[in-house]
Amino acid sequence: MQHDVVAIVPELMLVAAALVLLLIDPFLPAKGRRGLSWLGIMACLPAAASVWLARSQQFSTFSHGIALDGFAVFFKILLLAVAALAMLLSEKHLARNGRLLGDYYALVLLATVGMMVMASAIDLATFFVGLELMALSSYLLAGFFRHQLRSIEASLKYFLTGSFASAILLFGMALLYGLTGSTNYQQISIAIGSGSLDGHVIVIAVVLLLGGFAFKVAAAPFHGWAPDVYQGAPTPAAAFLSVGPKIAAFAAIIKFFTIMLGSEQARWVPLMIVVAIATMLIGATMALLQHDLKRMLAFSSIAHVGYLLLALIAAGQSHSNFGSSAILFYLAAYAAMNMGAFGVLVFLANSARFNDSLDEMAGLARRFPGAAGVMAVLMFSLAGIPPTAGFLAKFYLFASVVDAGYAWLAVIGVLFSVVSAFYYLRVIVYMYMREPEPEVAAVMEPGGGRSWDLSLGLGLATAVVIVLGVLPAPVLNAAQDAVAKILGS
Amino acid sequence: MTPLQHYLVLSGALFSVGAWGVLARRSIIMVVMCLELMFNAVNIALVAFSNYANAGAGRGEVFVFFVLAIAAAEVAVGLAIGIAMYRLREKLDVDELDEMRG
Amino acid sequence: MHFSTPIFYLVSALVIIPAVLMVAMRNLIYSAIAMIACFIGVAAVFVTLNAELLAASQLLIYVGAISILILFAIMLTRRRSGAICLFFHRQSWAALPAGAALAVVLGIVLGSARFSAGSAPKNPSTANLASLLFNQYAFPFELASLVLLVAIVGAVLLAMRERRS
Repeated sequence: MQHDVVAIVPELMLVAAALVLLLIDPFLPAKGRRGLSWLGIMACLPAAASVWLARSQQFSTFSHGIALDGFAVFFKILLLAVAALAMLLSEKHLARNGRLLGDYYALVLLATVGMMVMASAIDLATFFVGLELMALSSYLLAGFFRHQLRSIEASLKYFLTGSFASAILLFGMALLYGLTGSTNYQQISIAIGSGSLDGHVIVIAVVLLLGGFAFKVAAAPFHGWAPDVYQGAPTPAAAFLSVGPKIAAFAAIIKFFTIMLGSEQARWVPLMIVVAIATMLIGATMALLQHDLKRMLAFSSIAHVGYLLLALIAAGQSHSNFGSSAILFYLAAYAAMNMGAFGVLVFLANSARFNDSLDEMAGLARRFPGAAGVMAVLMFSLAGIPPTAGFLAKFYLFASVVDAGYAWLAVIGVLFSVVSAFYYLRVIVYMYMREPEPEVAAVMEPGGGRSWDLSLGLGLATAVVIVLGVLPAPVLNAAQDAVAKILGS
Repeated sequence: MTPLQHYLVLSGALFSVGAWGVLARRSIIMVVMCLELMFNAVNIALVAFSNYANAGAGRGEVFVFFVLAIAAAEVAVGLAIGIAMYRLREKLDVDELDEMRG
Repeated sequence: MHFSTPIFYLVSALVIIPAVLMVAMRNLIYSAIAMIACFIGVAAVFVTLNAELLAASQLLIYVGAISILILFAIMLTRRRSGAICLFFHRQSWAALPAGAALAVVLGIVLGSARFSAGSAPKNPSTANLASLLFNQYAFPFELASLVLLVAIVGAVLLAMRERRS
């Protein structure tokens, strides 16, 4: 039993911090709430350290419900970093909107626990409970500004589509259990691999699982909720929600589709190709039409999910680990650049009356040179321009797709990537080469509330984006390592 | 002896009725009720599998315990969001979620 | 217990008919009552599958708690016109064919599926279930308590009336 607990030490730390936050929050005076985010951040650091210390372990615990392997180590550290960054970005924004409560950080921590469980689970029941823990916390985070109509609407939309997706996923999982008699990933994988199970039922299970996961990561044709949710949710929450759930879902998707259904690629790869192309198409083109920056970033996320699905196809098709490790590296790069981009929007919302619109970015370089510089780096990275993390992530990803024999898909991906560069670069053009409109110019007041938490977070994100772009080796090796050592593969 | 497949057809039918309701109805509370139908359908399938299985008997029923707990939590969260919405808008209508436009 | 096919059909009717009525009726309270009938039907299905403990849990949780919660929500959000709600969604014309297609596909595939299971039902005892729940599935069991915690936090965060100070 002592052996078992080692695997969940980080989760226990986060839960303890969340409980403390929930318990002390009602007793704090309004002013005393400043700095609460650091309670959460201070829980993430030792948690990450404990994961790092255990990085050479390789075992499954809790009767084979949770795995502690290289894969889990990678994802847990990534998720903890995402959680810490999310909390760094949020405090000032919450205060300005009159909702500075410890419950926010508790929800972020609990959502992260759910995500870590999703990534390290090797049992259907464990995975499902982790999924729902993440999902329910996310719905509440989206609706945190309960007096703003757009926040509650975002929360409602997220809840309705997310619960529908959960039910669909659950039915798919029930069929997997029914076919194989087990809820353990490895046993399911063996049973399906034996080829003696009813093929039609497997197809139904595949469709249901694919549909459910597509909802969760906002892939076409179930992407409709994402723009509204990211636009309506409080911006720091949108930062967290655009990154965390996707990371956790992809960890699970890799396990579901390349391990459990690995022998059935012929059944899911064709469908996945259609989904990936549709997703890239919608992400790349719709983003061009958006004037709201948060919606633009939402469609940008959708496009990135499309590229990730290409790598998934590569992972499923080939027998090397190239595609899966490309997904892991891409997720790390994506986390930094996407949260950074939302973080700049948080900064602007804190400093002035900002409506998240593209027009307000005009002439930003003059008013907020630091923010504009950070945004420029992040936009370059999202577009995939060297020497940023985004470039290397895309390069590695498309290389893995070509390596798996899908050169034509890689070409399509690169084409869409070039198209999407347009809307990223448009932001930079606005910031540096446009004069601010007179009516809009009056809205921005430089020197508004400065939050050094936020600046620290933005600095870290930008640093990661640049460093990963120049020195990818450590993270890349970690990704390759992680995939090679998935338990049960 | 009713074969396993009969129970699965029942489960599929209930799941489809729930899905129809989620897609068709306008009231948010109605959608939540239909989501519960879908979860119940999955529960029927899980228990049926658990009952007829050779290996893995009993696991389905344990899984259903989890689904029961989580569905309850989900309804609570969904209705909390719905109440918050009602306070702002005085109605609970899925079509009225148009604050944000494309 | 040995259950025969006519009982299965009876119980199925108790599940499906209230479900369809629930989705088709305009009055929310009538729908809620149909939903309760459906849940009781599902509990009956569990009994025919030798899962008496689950049947009892189903009654307690779904009929006893979730249905009451939904009824409260209906009553708290009633407009002057009562619980009647508008039926058709803007895009609802696609919903019925989609649902029907789904039912047909699932029915055909699942109805003719070949499972390696034997067709003789087992009878896992409560002790068996408990052993599974607290040994094998102990971790999700504990995690589920966190999910319930999140639900409580959510209810307070979003639905609690704020004190006017």
